[in-house]
Amino acid sequence: MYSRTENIALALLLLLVISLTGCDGGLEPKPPPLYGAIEGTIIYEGDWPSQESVKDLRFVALREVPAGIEDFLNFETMVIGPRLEYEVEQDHFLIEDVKSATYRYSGVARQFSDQLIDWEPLGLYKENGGVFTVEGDTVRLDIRVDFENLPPFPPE
Amino acid sequence: MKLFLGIIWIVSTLPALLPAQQDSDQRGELQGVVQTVQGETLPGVHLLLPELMRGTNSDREGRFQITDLPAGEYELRVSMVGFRTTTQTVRIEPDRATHLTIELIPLTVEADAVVVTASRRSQLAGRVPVSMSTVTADEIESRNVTSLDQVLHYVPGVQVTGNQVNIRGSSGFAYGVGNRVLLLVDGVPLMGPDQENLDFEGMPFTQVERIEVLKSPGSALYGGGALGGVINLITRDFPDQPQTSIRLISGAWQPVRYEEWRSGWDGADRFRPHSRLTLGHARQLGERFGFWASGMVSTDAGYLQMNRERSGEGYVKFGGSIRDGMDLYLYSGIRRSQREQFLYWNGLNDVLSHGTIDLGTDEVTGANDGLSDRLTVMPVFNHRIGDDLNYSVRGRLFGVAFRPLDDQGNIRPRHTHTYGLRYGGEAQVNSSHLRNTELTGGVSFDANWVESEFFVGEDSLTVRNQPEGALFLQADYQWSDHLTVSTGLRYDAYRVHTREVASRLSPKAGISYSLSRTLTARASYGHGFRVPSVAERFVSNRDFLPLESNVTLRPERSVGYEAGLTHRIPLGDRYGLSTEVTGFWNEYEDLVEPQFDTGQAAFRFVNLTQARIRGVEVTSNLSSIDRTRQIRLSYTWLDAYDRTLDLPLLYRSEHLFQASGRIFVTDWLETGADFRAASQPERVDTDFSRFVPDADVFPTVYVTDLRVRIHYSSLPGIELSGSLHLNNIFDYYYVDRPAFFAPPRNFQAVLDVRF
Repeated sequence: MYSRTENIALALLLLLVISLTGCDGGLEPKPPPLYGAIEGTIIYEGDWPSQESVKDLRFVALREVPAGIEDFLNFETMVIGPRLEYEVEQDHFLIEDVKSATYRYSGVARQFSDQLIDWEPLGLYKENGGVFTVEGDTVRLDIRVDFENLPPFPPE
Repeated sequence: MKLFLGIIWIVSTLPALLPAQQDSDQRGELQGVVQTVQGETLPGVHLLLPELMRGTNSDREGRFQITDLPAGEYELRVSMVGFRTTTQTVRIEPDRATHLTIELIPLTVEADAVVVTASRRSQLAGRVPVSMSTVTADEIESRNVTSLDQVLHYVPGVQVTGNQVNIRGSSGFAYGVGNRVLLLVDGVPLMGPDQENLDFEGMPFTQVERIEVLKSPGSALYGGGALGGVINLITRDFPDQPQTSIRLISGAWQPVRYEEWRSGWDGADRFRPHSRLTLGHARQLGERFGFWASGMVSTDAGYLQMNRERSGEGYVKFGGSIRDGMDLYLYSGIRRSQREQFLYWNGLNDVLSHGTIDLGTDEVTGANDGLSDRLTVMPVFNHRIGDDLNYSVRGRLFGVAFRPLDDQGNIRPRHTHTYGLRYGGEAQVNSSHLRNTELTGGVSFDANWVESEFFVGEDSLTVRNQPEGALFLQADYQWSDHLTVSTGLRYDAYRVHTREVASRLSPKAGISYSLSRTLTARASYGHGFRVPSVAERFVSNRDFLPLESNVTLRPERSVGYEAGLTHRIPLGDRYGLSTEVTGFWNEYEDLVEPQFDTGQAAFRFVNLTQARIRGVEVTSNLSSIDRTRQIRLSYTWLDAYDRTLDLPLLYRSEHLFQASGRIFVTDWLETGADFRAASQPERVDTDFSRFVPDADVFPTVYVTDLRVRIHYSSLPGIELSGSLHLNNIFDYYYVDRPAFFAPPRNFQAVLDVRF
């Protein structure tokens, strides 16, 4: 059989390798997110487009100014409000459980076809450099939509 | 007179001075077989009678024959790279054949491994010109392997990402669709008809003799699926004596240590059990036939929400010699499983619960439940025509059915089901008629048929098929005892769409040269290619993730080069050290990867890029000759680079490290440990994290498994063993694939009875 020294040497080598691995625990939960709320009033001006070209209408808020339509698809980080009314002069929304963050690009957007990608902004919130949500607070916004003067997209 | 007496003296004493010629008018022959101490026959062993300057090499069955030898006693020298050279005295009897069985002792334990995957024929691992790793039945049993990924995790240079195998960076992560590694069972391809995925659990590991992993492009021998390598499971032969085995496994997943994670799912606070019962029986039937059968039932509560599974399977291999020189075998299996599939998590704060994807107006879920059935039938016919020629005909049929279940466990309507069938066959001829040359050639045909609403695509068809045919030829020439040269060529033709046919010529070349008894050099070059699977081309679904078809996908192509050195030296009388250094360089074109298409707001598989994957792999194996002490260390450095984007390739780790050790503390007590590490991928797909929170989190992997095993064989005719396996013993948390929490600490107790 093998000597005691051989057994001990092999056991120590194994222990050394496996002990090197026990120093780190790997993944761990992130600090819990903080939530605030966004409440807004929308005033519409001008003639509404046909209902066929307004498949969906919502308040959306993005953390960064989008470079193109693909940035509208960051569903994980953007805020999407409830569906808004069609052909009204004024509307109101409240979104709770909004992750505390700065949303630099926000406003009312419509989906103009059945394609998921076919969205465009109708009116933007331009005050204060963006929407800042803070835990427990409700941010109040006023957004104006002028159908005769829609904001350019992508933003200039 | 003196002269006359002198002549008489010379004539009378000459036979004594020249013993080899003492019976020079009487001739005999020497024949026999060369094998390892384990009884595996050894091809290519050099046998020499120095006094006569006569010699030969053993054939692929380990047999040798030297004819027309003068009767007498001679010294026979037997040598082979990687083995101790032996010398023994043999006596050649007049008009008779002297039979010998010669056993060679390896310098290191792996020197005597016989492999079949590198050239579609038996050859010693030390003589193949390409990188290969072999996992023995001993290792499979010691680690209590129940699925293929458990083995592959510890093969040098291999990573498993979800249900995809990545050999030396060949694959990243492609949502379980498409595969660059070909799975064979006894040389017969076993790939899914739709996704061409590997079924990690679809085989009876208690009946596997060894697993060979070819770690370079294998398309020149095996066609499209082998772009990144080949995994070949070699099943056991039938034992001489009837053998029955019972294996009972019982274990549990330990609750995770973070309250935040446990709070998201009611089932997370308790140990979640899993168990498995495997029964096997093998025996000879008469003198010519035999069989083994294996059945298994298992249940697993899963460590994630919507991750339970119940399954049952049965496998049979039957066959034997139907006439002298003719063998017929049939391998068949059936498996049913009811499995909840966890697809992606709910974020880093809720890793145990499946997530949902908000597509703006629709919401889809990251889990499903379904009933899966699989059928495998593989007949093999071998015919040996003389010593120099044999051929084999192999068939394969692999059927799958997937039927999703609703919340009440009822099967959903027929149109939601997926059915697939892959079938084909091949004929192969092996010839050694030409001196020192082994020729292997053949023809192969495969077709698949898939019906699924997942694969509707742009043409609105629900039935898909991709037939393919191939011709292949390979020549291995043993230039000398030291030098073996191998060349090969394969022509494949695939129908990739309703009318289009793609074809590809895949050459390869390799050389193996023994610089000394302990040092072997090898180099190889080969082309690889892969035709995209039905799923990559036609998948179109938004039930779990937005996926769109791309019928214009082109085949991927690769060219690979590698060179390596293997050094095997004895350390004292009881140990051997083997060290292998390999450099490899693979260039890929039209690599197919999933990419987010903003125009369709969905992922599509596209011919994305040109890529270069190069690296170095070092493996060192220290082992006692009796295999009771083994330590293996391996390190792989990978440079996987996207030449088109000028960025690292997605989901490739730059550093891989594996260490394994096994010690028999006493005759009855065995301990073992395995450790693997993979560095954080240099680049991960950020498009996936548009939909799934924290899908771009991919930490470094450190996993350590420990085991203790007790053997008890005092009862006559009964072998009993029990083992305890502690997996991921440090409870290290990582991801198995994007947004999929890998197994936390878990344990298994195994009871094994054989009689």
